[in-house]
Amino acid sequence: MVQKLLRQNISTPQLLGYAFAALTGMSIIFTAFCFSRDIRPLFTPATGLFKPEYLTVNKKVSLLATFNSDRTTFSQAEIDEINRQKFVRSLSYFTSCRFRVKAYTQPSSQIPPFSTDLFFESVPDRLLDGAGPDWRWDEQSGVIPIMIPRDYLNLYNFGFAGSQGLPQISEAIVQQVVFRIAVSGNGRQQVFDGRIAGFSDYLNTILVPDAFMQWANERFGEGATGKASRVIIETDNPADPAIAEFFAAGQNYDISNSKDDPGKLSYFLTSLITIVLIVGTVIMLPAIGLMVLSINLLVYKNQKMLGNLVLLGYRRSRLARPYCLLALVLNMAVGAASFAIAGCAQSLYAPRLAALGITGLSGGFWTTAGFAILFVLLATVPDILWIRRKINRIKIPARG
Amino acid sequence: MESIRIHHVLPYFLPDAEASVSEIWRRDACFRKGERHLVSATSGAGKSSLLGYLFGERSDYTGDIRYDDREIGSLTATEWSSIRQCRISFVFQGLRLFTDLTAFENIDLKNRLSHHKTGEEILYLLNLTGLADKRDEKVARLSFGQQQRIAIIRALCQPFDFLLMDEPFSHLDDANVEIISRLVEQELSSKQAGLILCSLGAEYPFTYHHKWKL
Repeated sequence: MVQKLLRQNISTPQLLGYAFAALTGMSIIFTAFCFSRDIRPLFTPATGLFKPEYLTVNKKVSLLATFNSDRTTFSQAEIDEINRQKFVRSLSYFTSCRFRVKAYTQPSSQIPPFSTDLFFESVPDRLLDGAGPDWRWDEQSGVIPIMIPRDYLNLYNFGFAGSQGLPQISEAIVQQVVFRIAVSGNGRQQVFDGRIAGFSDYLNTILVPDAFMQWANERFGEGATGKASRVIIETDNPADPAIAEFFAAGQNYDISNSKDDPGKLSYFLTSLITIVLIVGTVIMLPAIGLMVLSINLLVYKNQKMLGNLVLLGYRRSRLARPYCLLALVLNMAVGAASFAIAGCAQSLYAPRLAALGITGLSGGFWTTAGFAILFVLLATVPDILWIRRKINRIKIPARG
Repeated sequence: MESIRIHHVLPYFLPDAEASVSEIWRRDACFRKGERHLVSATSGAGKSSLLGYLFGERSDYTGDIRYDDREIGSLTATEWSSIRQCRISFVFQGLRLFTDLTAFENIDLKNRLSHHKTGEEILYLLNLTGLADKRDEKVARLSFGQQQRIAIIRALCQPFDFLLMDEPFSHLDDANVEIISRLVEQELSSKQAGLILCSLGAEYPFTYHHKWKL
């Protein structure tokens, strides 16, 4: 009976208007949210030999820098500044060798004789999880494991060997080859065996185990410890747009991580999704405004009836309840419809994502479901607060 | 609730000169549970205002009004609800019926708050006051006299310590006044409740403890 009274003056066109506007806004927001969840795998590449959570940073080499090596090394202040950034979990340096290195093959071996000057660098071993058990320095055995960029081998196989009529060699074969490495400096010289122990995808240098580097620099090293010219940043999310933003801010830095540069792509996509979310929100705002106006009008029209019910002893909260329930049910219906639309949108873009290797979108689907429920509840709270406020402030009409 | 006391109450709108001849305005008065009070005055002296103040419907006055020892200005909305549900009942001069609802629905709207009377009891009351055939008629289509009777029955469908009536019989014939007065008297006695009745001068068949000139 009270329901029958309270239903008076509820305007269906106003509710439909609200429902339509809210449906548009929520559909856009849910779809954008769902899409942003679904494309996340794009920015978490499979772990390589050198894990992509590590980025190497160096300075750009310019004409001026050619003559002044200080320009390409990092000052302490610069390192501190990088270290302060939120995306930096830890920061490590490349250690350079301070001795001369020559690699050569013995005349008796089965591969063509060669001899070349080399250099080594090392990074902390924990950054090279995939390096395997061979990646260690043992002074007794005198074998130095070496890691080279996979690109070097490709360069040889597809560039050099092909054009010069030489045989192509596989990674496995390369790892079998043992060559000699002569290390000299500080008035000492020693010859070791060298062996290719692995290939790195992301780190463009010739690596030896950190333990060997410490040992050899102490023994053969000449001159002072050089300033760092390359640093390695460990980060939780290499696709964090903040990374691209920071290093693009004119600091003269070069940053290299994985080959497809997810940072910039992520930055672009995140901006795009943000814009879409803002558009959705902008549509939601007048919808909420329309709801508030409808509530005002409804309470105004029903003022006399509500005031009389208060005088009969009805609690204001009891009178507000059916209206709050109506707002909740309406928002839930709109939310469910918007979620269904987002689901349709997902099935439309799913084949395109599948082409990029992203399948199994149910995770994004269910996360969006949770988000939708939360969003509907949050969108209903202002309605409920407003309804209660208006009904609590009803003045009792002077005459029945 | 044992008593309603008023102390130096004066409506904002009432000139001092008019108030000075009143037995209630700017004086002390006490209405006790179980007593019958008649407040009579000419039109415009503030009868409806007085009952409105006592019921918390209006608050455009100075002075204070207490339920027992509680100043009514300090009551919360929730406390007012429970007072109106089971301590004080009011027959409004303007009736405050819902014209879109039927006679029975109007009464039931009140009764379902406290489930004070059964459906049969309500029908008995409608019957007694000559409204049995109007039970399912929308109130808008009833005469003011019939509406007055419905408002009185509605006021009886709740527990109360005090019954306030504002010119409740103005549109009723003597026979109906007689029937309804007896009905009201029975309800008051069974509840040991107090009555505060405002009228333009008519006294109606109650035995009053005190008659006030407003």
